[in-house]
Amino acid sequence: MQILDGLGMTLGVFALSLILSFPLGIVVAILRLSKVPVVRKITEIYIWILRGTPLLLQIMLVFFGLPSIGIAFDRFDSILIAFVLNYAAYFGEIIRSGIQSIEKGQRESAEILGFSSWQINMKIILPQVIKRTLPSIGNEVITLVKDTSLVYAVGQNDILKYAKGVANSTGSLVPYVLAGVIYLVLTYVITKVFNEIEKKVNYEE
Amino acid sequence: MLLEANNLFKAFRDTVVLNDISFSVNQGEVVSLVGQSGAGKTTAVRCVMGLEKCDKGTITIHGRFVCKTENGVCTHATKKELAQIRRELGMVFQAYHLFPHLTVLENVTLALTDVYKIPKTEANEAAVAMLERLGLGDKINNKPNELSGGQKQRVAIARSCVTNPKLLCFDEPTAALDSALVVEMVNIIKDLAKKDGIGVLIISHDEKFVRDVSDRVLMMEQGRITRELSAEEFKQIMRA
Ligand SMILES: Nc1ncnc2c1ncn2[C@@H]1O[C@H](COP(=O)(O)OP(=O)(O)OP(=O)(O)O)[C@@H](O)[C@H]1O
Ligand SMILES: [Mg+2]
Repeated sequence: MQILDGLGMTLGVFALSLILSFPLGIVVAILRLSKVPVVRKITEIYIWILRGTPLLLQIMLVFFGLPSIGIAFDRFDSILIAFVLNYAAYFGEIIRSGIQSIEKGQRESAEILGFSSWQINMKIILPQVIKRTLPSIGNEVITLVKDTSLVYAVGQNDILKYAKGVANSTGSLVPYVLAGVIYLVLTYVITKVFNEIEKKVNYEE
Repeated sequence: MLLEANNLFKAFRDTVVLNDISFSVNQGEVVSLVGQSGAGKTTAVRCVMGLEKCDKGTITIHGRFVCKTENGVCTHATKKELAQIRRELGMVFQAYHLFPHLTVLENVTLALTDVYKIPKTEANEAAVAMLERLGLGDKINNKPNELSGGQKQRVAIARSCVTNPKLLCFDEPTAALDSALVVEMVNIIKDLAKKDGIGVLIISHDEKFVRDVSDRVLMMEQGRITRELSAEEFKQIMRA
């Protein structure tokens, strides 16, 4: 089955994008809430641009556009850069809203107890933020699975590319349906995983 | 002197909230700050805790400066200095602000293990002892949301006291308590002051509670301390 060869690429883009963009999103959120106005503003602009333009355009810009000014990445790296930067902006905004939803008294209590800012963020704020934002993060992760099909536009051999190839040569509808089923299975698995995580971290507040 | 605050001024934009107030708390002494809503009580305590920066004035904890004013220029403790000073401070907020994702025990041990770098078993022992002293021995593995308001407050006290602060501040400690629990709170606070020698600064509207718990009462009005009374004098005023 050729289409399964494409699955590796789809999963690769998905997994690497997720693993890299989520921590970067945390950093984006923290910078976005920085006390230093310049840092805050720059982060805001970054988020605005990355969320305000199509991901497909960003991928093309990195892969086709940057070489014209002498910065060239190979196909896969270009894709990854665009995905990570883009998703970090989305995750960043979700996490920022989560951080802001936690009453500031917790941070103040922790400060008086002597925790450093880093400890407060990592041990006290972030665990609660992740719990509160889990549904939105889950949505974003599902969108990410589907967005991986954009790599097809720069000629990467993912599920969709293979499906199209097979469909063209056989004149059959089946490859497209099969591709659809694979995406459904992936999103189903992700939904289940997130439901489990939600159950695990569930506590009333 | 444990806490000394002298000539504090603080304004938020153009509203003057602290207008030249001075107060002090001794070791083992319970001092209450009373006064109408908006008088500036919380702001005064927040300045002591380093959560708010006063515009002018001098605050010392055991001789260490939270802020210092010389020749009209007010300088505040650096982050590092403040961290050092805060080892002597504890605060129980009106809304407690327990960490909801941690158990009662973890709420109390976290500062010991992560800030004071005390080994986990030792930290647990200290925390359990403190929780038992406050009557929470059977709640150590519960999450904060499984506790009543009074129990949450005692966890907050345990969390503050387990690090052996020299000065403990309470903002409205009886606001959410029924009268039986208020009596209990009086005993807890007196015990901490007399047994452990902790200086306690309390903000309260509850006159009976203030009467029963305080060694000294400061009356605040529009950013000023208008009267300073001994416990006896306060009792007489209340009778009148
Ligand atoms: N962060 C802030 N920004 C602007 N104004 C503030 C801020 N904090 C307090 N104030 C103002 O300062 C004044 C004193 O507030 P503070 O909380 O110290 O009063 P309080 O004596 O504790 O009152 P209460 O008994 O209602 O708690 C109020 O008028 C309040 O509106
Ligand atoms: Mg107040």
